Amino acid sequence: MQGFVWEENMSDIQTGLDEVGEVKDYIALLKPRVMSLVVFTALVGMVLAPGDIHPVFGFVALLCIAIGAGASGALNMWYDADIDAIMARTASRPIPRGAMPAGEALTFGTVLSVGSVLTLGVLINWMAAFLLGFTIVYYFFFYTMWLKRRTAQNIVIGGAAGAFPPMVGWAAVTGSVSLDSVILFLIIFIWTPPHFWALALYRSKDYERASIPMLPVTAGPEVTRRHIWLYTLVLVPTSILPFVTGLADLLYLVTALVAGGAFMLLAWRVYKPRKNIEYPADERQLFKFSIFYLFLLYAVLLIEHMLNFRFIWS
Amino acid sequence: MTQVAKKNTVGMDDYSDIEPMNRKQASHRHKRSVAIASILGFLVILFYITTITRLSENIKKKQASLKKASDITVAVPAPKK
Repeated sequence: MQGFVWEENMSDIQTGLDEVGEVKDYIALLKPRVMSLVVFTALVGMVLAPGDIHPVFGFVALLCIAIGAGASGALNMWYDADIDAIMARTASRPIPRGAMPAGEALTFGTVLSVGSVLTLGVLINWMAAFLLGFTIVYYFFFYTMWLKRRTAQNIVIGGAAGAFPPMVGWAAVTGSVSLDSVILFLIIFIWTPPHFWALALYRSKDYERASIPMLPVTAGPEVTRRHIWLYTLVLVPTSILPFVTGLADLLYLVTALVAGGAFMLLAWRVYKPRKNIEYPADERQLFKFSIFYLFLLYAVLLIEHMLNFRFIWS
Repeated sequence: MTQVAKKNTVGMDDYSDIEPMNRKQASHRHKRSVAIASILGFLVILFYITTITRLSENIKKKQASLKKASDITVAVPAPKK
Protein backbone atom coordinates (compact mmCIF):
# COMPACT_ATOMS: atom_id res chain seq x y z
CA MET A 1 0.00 0.00 0.00
CA GLN A 2 1.32 3.42 -0.81
CA GLY A 3 1.90 5.79 2.13
CA PHE A 4 2.16 9.51 2.37
CA VAL A 5 4.83 11.52 4.19
CA TRP A 6 3.97 15.10 5.03
CA GLU A 7 6.77 17.40 4.02
CA GLU A 8 7.45 19.94 6.70
CA ASN A 9 10.08 22.60 6.84
CA MET A 10 11.24 23.87 10.24
CA SER A 11 11.02 27.45 9.08
CA ASP A 12 7.36 26.96 8.25
CA ILE A 13 6.49 26.05 11.81
CA GLN A 14 4.72 29.09 13.14
CA THR A 15 4.69 28.97 16.87
CA GLY A 16 4.55 32.58 18.01
CA LEU A 17 7.13 31.83 20.70
CA ASP A 18 8.93 34.65 22.44
CA GLU A 19 12.65 34.67 22.94
CA VAL A 20 13.66 32.37 25.81
CA GLY A 21 16.78 32.89 27.87
CA GLU A 22 19.84 30.73 27.97
CA VAL A 23 20.53 28.37 30.86
CA LYS A 24 23.02 30.83 32.36
CA ASP A 25 20.30 33.48 32.48
CA TYR A 26 18.06 31.17 34.50
CA ILE A 27 20.95 30.50 36.85
CA ALA A 28 21.48 34.26 37.19
CA LEU A 29 17.81 34.62 38.18
CA LEU A 30 18.55 32.48 41.23
CA LYS A 31 21.11 35.02 42.58
CA PRO A 32 23.78 32.36 43.17
CA ARG A 33 25.89 34.43 45.54
CA VAL A 34 22.98 35.12 47.87
CA MET A 35 21.93 31.49 47.52
CA SER A 36 25.38 30.26 48.65
CA LEU A 37 25.23 32.33 51.84
CA VAL A 38 21.70 31.08 52.50
CA VAL A 39 22.79 27.46 52.05
CA PHE A 40 25.78 27.96 54.32
CA THR A 41 23.74 29.48 57.16
CA ALA A 42 21.11 26.77 56.75
CA LEU A 43 23.82 24.12 56.95
CA VAL A 44 25.09 25.63 60.20
CA GLY A 45 21.55 25.60 61.59
CA MET A 46 21.28 21.96 60.61
CA VAL A 47 24.60 21.02 62.23
CA LEU A 48 23.91 22.92 65.46
CA ALA A 49 20.47 21.43 65.90
CA PRO A 50 20.28 18.69 68.53
CA GLY A 51 19.91 15.27 67.01
CA ASP A 52 21.05 13.55 63.88
CA ILE A 53 19.99 13.56 60.29
CA HIS A 54 20.77 11.07 57.58
CA PRO A 55 23.11 12.63 55.01
CA VAL A 56 20.61 11.94 52.22
CA PHE A 57 17.91 13.86 54.08
CA GLY A 58 20.40 16.57 54.95
CA PHE A 59 21.32 16.96 51.31
CA VAL A 60 17.66 17.05 50.27
CA ALA A 61 16.88 19.68 52.89
CA LEU A 62 19.78 21.88 51.82
CA LEU A 63 18.83 21.47 48.17
CA CYS A 64 15.24 22.51 48.85
CA ILE A 65 16.40 25.49 50.89
CA ALA A 66 18.79 26.52 48.11
CA ILE A 67 16.10 26.22 45.44
CA GLY A 68 13.61 28.09 47.62
CA ALA A 69 16.10 30.90 48.14
CA GLY A 70 16.81 31.01 44.42
CA ALA A 71 13.10 31.09 43.66
CA SER A 72 12.73 34.14 45.91
CA GLY A 73 15.47 35.81 43.90
CA ALA A 74 13.75 35.02 40.61
CA LEU A 75 10.44 36.40 41.84
CA ASN A 76 12.22 39.49 43.11
CA MET A 77 13.85 40.01 39.73
CA TRP A 78 10.48 39.65 38.02
CA TYR A 79 8.82 42.26 40.20
CA ASP A 80 11.76 44.68 40.29
CA ALA A 81 12.58 44.49 36.56
CA ASP A 82 11.56 48.13 36.13
CA ILE A 83 13.87 49.52 38.81
CA ASP A 84 16.63 47.02 37.99
CA ALA A 85 16.81 48.58 34.54
CA ILE A 86 17.44 52.00 36.07
CA MET A 87 20.11 51.03 38.59
CA ALA A 88 23.68 50.49 37.38
CA ARG A 89 24.23 47.65 39.88
CA THR A 90 21.32 45.63 38.52
CA ALA A 91 21.03 46.68 34.87
CA SER A 92 22.91 43.59 33.71
CA ARG A 93 20.33 41.19 35.17
CA PRO A 94 18.58 38.93 32.64
CA ILE A 95 15.26 40.80 32.41
CA PRO A 96 16.52 44.39 32.13
CA ARG A 97 19.12 43.14 29.66
CA GLY A 98 16.35 41.68 27.50
CA ALA A 99 17.68 38.12 27.76
CA MET A 100 14.23 36.78 28.61
CA PRO A 101 10.70 38.06 29.00
CA ALA A 102 9.61 38.92 32.54
CA GLY A 103 6.94 36.24 32.51
CA GLU A 104 9.63 33.56 32.26
CA ALA A 105 11.10 34.68 35.58
CA LEU A 106 7.67 34.69 37.21
CA THR A 107 6.89 31.17 36.01
CA PHE A 108 10.36 29.95 36.91
CA GLY A 109 10.23 31.46 40.40
CA THR A 110 6.70 30.23 41.10
CA VAL A 111 7.38 26.67 40.00
CA LEU A 112 10.59 26.50 42.02
CA SER A 113 8.94 28.02 45.11
CA VAL A 114 6.04 25.60 45.13
CA GLY A 115 8.25 22.65 44.19
CA SER A 116 10.89 23.29 46.84
CA VAL A 117 8.37 23.78 49.65
CA LEU A 118 6.35 20.69 48.71
CA THR A 119 9.46 18.55 48.28
CA LEU A 120 10.82 19.68 51.64
CA GLY A 121 7.49 18.91 53.29
CA VAL A 122 7.02 15.49 51.74
CA LEU A 123 10.59 14.27 52.11
CA ILE A 124 11.72 15.95 55.35
CA ASN A 125 9.06 17.52 57.55
CA TRP A 126 6.30 20.09 57.30
CA MET A 127 7.69 22.47 59.91
CA ALA A 128 10.78 23.06 57.79
CA ALA A 129 8.56 23.35 54.71
CA PHE A 130 6.34 25.87 56.47
CA LEU A 131 9.33 27.98 57.47
CA LEU A 132 10.73 27.86 53.93
CA GLY A 133 7.37 28.79 52.46
CA PHE A 134 7.00 31.59 54.97
CA THR A 135 10.47 32.87 54.07
CA ILE A 136 9.61 32.98 50.37
CA VAL A 137 6.25 34.66 50.98
CA TYR A 138 7.82 37.12 53.40
CA TYR A 139 10.61 38.06 51.02
CA PHE A 140 8.39 38.40 47.97
CA PHE A 141 5.16 39.87 49.29
CA PHE A 142 6.34 41.72 52.40
CA TYR A 143 9.73 43.01 51.28
CA THR A 144 9.73 43.10 47.49
CA MET A 145 6.15 44.05 46.74
CA TRP A 146 5.28 46.09 49.84
CA LEU A 147 8.13 47.47 51.95
CA LYS A 148 10.94 48.05 49.47
CA ARG A 149 9.28 50.92 47.60
CA ARG A 150 7.42 52.39 50.56
CA THR A 151 9.58 52.81 53.63
CA ALA A 152 13.15 53.51 54.66
CA GLN A 153 12.81 50.66 57.17
CA ASN A 154 12.41 48.22 54.28
CA ILE A 155 15.69 46.48 54.90
CA VAL A 156 15.20 46.31 58.67
CA ILE A 157 11.87 44.50 58.45
CA GLY A 158 12.39 42.78 55.13
CA GLY A 159 15.85 41.60 56.11
CA ALA A 160 14.22 38.99 58.33
CA ALA A 161 13.76 36.89 55.22
CA GLY A 162 17.51 36.39 54.98
CA ALA A 163 17.65 35.39 58.64
CA PHE A 164 15.25 32.47 58.42
CA PRO A 165 17.47 29.87 56.67
CA PRO A 166 19.30 28.70 59.83
CA MET A 167 15.89 28.17 61.44
CA VAL A 168 14.79 26.15 58.41
CA GLY A 169 17.93 24.02 58.66
CA TRP A 170 17.33 23.56 62.39
CA ALA A 171 13.71 22.57 61.80
CA ALA A 172 14.79 20.06 59.16
CA VAL A 173 16.58 18.12 61.92
CA THR A 174 14.33 18.66 64.92
CA GLY A 175 10.95 19.39 63.34
CA SER A 176 10.62 22.44 65.57
CA VAL A 177 12.11 25.81 66.45
CA SER A 178 13.89 26.70 69.67
CA LEU A 179 15.53 29.61 71.46
CA ASP A 180 18.89 28.69 69.95
CA SER A 181 17.54 28.73 66.41
CA VAL A 182 15.94 32.10 67.13
CA ILE A 183 19.35 33.37 68.28
CA LEU A 184 20.85 32.28 64.97
CA PHE A 185 18.03 34.18 63.29
CA LEU A 186 18.68 37.27 65.44
CA ILE A 187 22.36 37.50 64.52
CA ILE A 188 21.56 37.75 60.82
CA PHE A 189 18.54 39.97 61.46
CA ILE A 190 20.61 42.58 63.33
CA TRP A 191 23.50 42.22 60.88
CA THR A 192 21.37 42.94 57.80
CA PRO A 193 20.73 46.71 58.24
CA PRO A 194 24.38 47.82 58.71
CA HIS A 195 25.39 45.47 55.88
CA PHE A 196 22.87 46.85 53.40
CA TRP A 197 23.09 50.47 54.50
CA ALA A 198 26.85 50.41 53.91
CA LEU A 199 26.06 49.37 50.33
CA ALA A 200 23.24 51.89 50.06
CA LEU A 201 25.54 54.71 51.17
CA TYR A 202 27.84 54.39 48.20
CA ARG A 203 25.02 53.45 45.83
CA SER A 204 22.63 56.13 47.03
CA LYS A 205 22.48 57.85 43.64
CA ASP A 206 21.32 54.59 42.07
CA TYR A 207 18.56 54.15 44.64
CA GLU A 208 17.54 57.78 44.28
CA ARG A 209 17.25 57.41 40.51
CA ALA A 210 15.05 54.36 40.97
CA SER A 211 12.97 56.13 43.66
CA ILE A 212 13.66 53.46 46.26
CA PRO A 213 13.36 54.95 49.75
CA MET A 214 16.57 53.57 51.19
CA LEU A 215 17.71 55.38 54.31
CA PRO A 216 20.51 57.41 52.64
CA VAL A 217 17.95 58.69 50.13
CA THR A 218 15.20 59.60 52.59
CA ALA A 219 17.15 60.65 55.66
CA GLY A 220 20.57 61.46 54.26
CA PRO A 221 24.04 59.98 54.76
CA GLU A 222 24.59 61.37 58.27
CA VAL A 223 21.52 59.67 59.73
CA THR A 224 22.42 56.46 57.90
CA ARG A 225 25.95 56.44 59.32
CA ARG A 226 24.56 56.92 62.82
CA HIS A 227 22.11 54.08 62.32
CA ILE A 228 24.92 51.80 61.07
CA TRP A 229 26.90 52.60 64.21
CA LEU A 230 23.91 51.98 66.51
CA TYR A 231 23.03 48.68 64.89
CA THR A 232 26.67 47.59 65.20
CA LEU A 233 26.51 48.31 68.93
CA VAL A 234 23.54 45.94 69.14
CA LEU A 235 25.06 43.36 66.79
CA VAL A 236 28.17 42.63 68.83
CA PRO A 237 26.38 41.62 72.08
CA THR A 238 23.82 39.69 70.00
CA SER A 239 26.62 37.74 68.40
CA ILE A 240 27.76 36.58 71.84
CA LEU A 241 24.38 35.07 72.73
CA PRO A 242 25.28 31.60 71.37
CA PHE A 243 28.03 31.42 73.98
CA VAL A 244 25.66 32.64 76.73
CA THR A 245 23.09 29.95 75.98
CA GLY A 246 25.68 27.21 75.64
CA LEU A 247 25.17 26.77 71.93
CA ALA A 248 28.80 27.79 71.28
CA ASP A 249 32.09 27.52 73.10
CA LEU A 250 35.15 29.59 73.89
CA LEU A 251 36.53 29.63 70.37
CA TYR A 252 33.34 31.21 69.11
CA LEU A 253 33.32 33.76 71.94
CA VAL A 254 36.84 34.91 71.13
CA THR A 255 36.05 35.05 67.40
CA ALA A 256 32.84 36.99 67.98
CA LEU A 257 34.62 39.50 70.19
CA VAL A 258 37.57 40.03 67.85
CA ALA A 259 35.47 40.19 64.70
CA GLY A 260 32.91 42.32 66.49
CA GLY A 261 35.66 44.72 67.50
CA ALA A 262 36.78 45.00 63.91
CA PHE A 263 33.20 45.55 62.79
CA MET A 264 32.82 48.32 65.35
CA LEU A 265 36.04 49.96 64.20
CA LEU A 266 34.93 49.98 60.56
CA ALA A 267 31.44 51.15 61.51
CA TRP A 268 33.01 53.97 63.53
CA ARG A 269 35.05 55.00 60.51
CA VAL A 270 31.85 55.18 58.49
CA TYR A 271 30.12 57.12 61.28
CA LYS A 272 32.99 59.56 61.71
CA PRO A 273 34.65 59.58 58.27
CA ARG A 274 38.38 60.16 58.21
CA LYS A 275 39.23 63.36 56.39
CA ASN A 276 42.15 61.98 54.42
CA ILE A 277 40.25 58.97 53.10
CA GLU A 278 38.43 59.31 49.81
CA TYR A 279 34.69 58.61 49.92
CA PRO A 280 33.33 55.91 49.64
CA ALA A 281 36.31 53.75 50.69
CA ASP A 282 35.09 53.23 54.27
CA GLU A 283 31.59 52.23 53.18
CA ARG A 284 32.92 49.70 50.69
CA GLN A 285 35.32 48.31 53.27
CA LEU A 286 32.53 47.91 55.82
CA PHE A 287 30.25 46.25 53.26
CA LYS A 288 32.90 43.73 52.23
CA PHE A 289 33.94 43.06 55.81
CA SER A 290 30.32 42.51 56.88
CA ILE A 291 30.07 39.59 54.47
CA PHE A 292 33.29 38.09 55.81
CA TYR A 293 32.12 38.74 59.39
CA LEU A 294 28.92 36.73 59.04
CA PHE A 295 30.70 33.95 57.22
CA LEU A 296 33.39 33.82 59.93
CA LEU A 297 30.92 33.64 62.83
CA TYR A 298 28.93 30.86 61.24
CA ALA A 299 32.07 29.01 60.14
CA VAL A 300 33.39 28.98 63.69
CA LEU A 301 30.02 27.77 64.97
CA LEU A 302 30.22 24.97 62.43
CA ILE A 303 33.79 24.02 63.30
CA GLU A 304 33.04 23.97 67.01
CA HIS A 305 30.09 21.67 66.58
CA MET A 306 31.52 19.33 63.95
CA LEU A 307 32.68 16.89 66.59
CA ASN A 308 29.21 16.72 68.10
CA PHE A 309 27.42 16.27 64.79
CA ARG A 310 26.97 12.67 63.71
CA PHE A 311 25.71 11.50 60.39
CA ILE A 312 23.77 8.26 60.65
CA TRP A 313 25.18 6.15 57.88
CA SER A 314 23.61 2.91 59.04
CA MET B 1 6.07 3.67 -3.44
CA THR B 2 5.95 6.46 -0.89
CA GLN B 3 4.60 9.72 -2.14
CA VAL B 4 5.57 13.06 -0.68
CA ALA B 5 2.49 15.22 -0.41
CA LYS B 6 2.27 18.94 0.24
CA LYS B 7 0.71 20.06 3.47
CA ASN B 8 -2.97 20.77 3.03
CA THR B 9 -3.83 24.03 4.74
CA VAL B 10 -7.41 24.38 3.58
CA GLY B 11 -9.72 25.08 6.52
CA MET B 12 -6.86 25.66 8.97
CA ASP B 13 -6.41 28.84 11.07
CA ASP B 14 -4.21 31.58 9.66
CA TYR B 15 -1.01 32.08 11.63
CA SER B 16 0.70 34.24 9.04
CA ASP B 17 1.01 37.15 11.48
CA ILE B 18 3.19 35.13 13.87
CA GLU B 19 6.95 35.27 13.46
CA PRO B 20 8.56 31.91 12.70
CA MET B 21 11.11 30.63 15.21
CA ASN B 22 14.69 31.16 14.11
CA ARG B 23 17.57 28.79 14.73
CA LYS B 24 18.75 30.57 17.86
CA GLN B 25 15.30 30.49 19.44
CA ALA B 26 14.88 26.86 18.47
CA SER B 27 18.25 26.06 20.03
CA HIS B 28 17.38 27.87 23.27
CA ARG B 29 14.03 26.16 23.33
CA HIS B 30 15.69 22.78 22.90
CA LYS B 31 18.24 23.47 25.64
CA ARG B 32 15.47 24.56 27.97
CA SER B 33 13.50 21.42 27.25
CA VAL B 34 16.57 19.31 27.97
CA ALA B 35 17.15 21.21 31.24
CA ILE B 36 13.54 20.75 32.36
CA ALA B 37 13.62 17.05 31.49
CA SER B 38 16.91 16.62 33.37
CA ILE B 39 15.55 18.34 36.45
CA LEU B 40 12.40 16.22 36.41
CA GLY B 41 14.50 13.09 36.05
CA PHE B 42 16.70 14.21 38.92
CA LEU B 43 13.59 14.79 41.06
CA VAL B 44 12.36 11.28 40.32
CA ILE B 45 15.71 9.82 41.35
CA LEU B 46 15.80 12.03 44.44
CA PHE B 47 12.36 10.86 45.58
CA TYR B 48 13.33 7.25 44.88
CA ILE B 49 16.57 7.43 46.88
CA THR B 50 14.92 9.29 49.75
CA THR B 51 12.07 6.78 49.93
CA ILE B 52 14.47 3.84 49.95
CA THR B 53 16.52 5.52 52.68
CA ARG B 54 13.46 6.20 54.81
CA LEU B 55 12.19 2.64 54.36
CA SER B 56 15.55 1.18 55.35
CA GLU B 57 15.65 3.39 58.43
CA ASN B 58 12.16 2.27 59.42
CA ILE B 59 13.14 -1.37 58.95
CA LYS B 60 16.21 -0.93 61.14
CA LYS B 61 14.16 0.79 63.84
CA LYS B 62 11.62 -2.03 63.71
CA GLN B 63 14.35 -4.65 63.98
CA ALA B 64 15.91 -2.78 66.90
CA SER B 65 12.59 -2.57 68.76
CA LEU B 66 11.88 -6.28 68.14
CA LYS B 67 15.32 -7.21 69.44
CA LYS B 68 14.77 -5.05 72.49
CA ALA B 69 11.40 -6.71 73.14
CA SER B 70 12.90 -10.21 72.84
CA ASP B 71 15.77 -9.26 75.16
CA ILE B 72 13.31 -8.10 77.79
CA THR B 73 11.40 -11.39 77.44
CA VAL B 74 14.59 -13.38 77.98
CA ALA B 75 15.59 -11.26 80.97
CA VAL B 76 12.40 -11.93 82.97
CA PRO B 77 13.29 -14.37 85.79
CA ALA B 78 11.25 -17.53 86.31
CA PRO B 79 8.73 -17.28 89.21
CA LYS B 80 9.71 -19.01 92.47
CA LYS B 81 7.72 -22.07 93.50
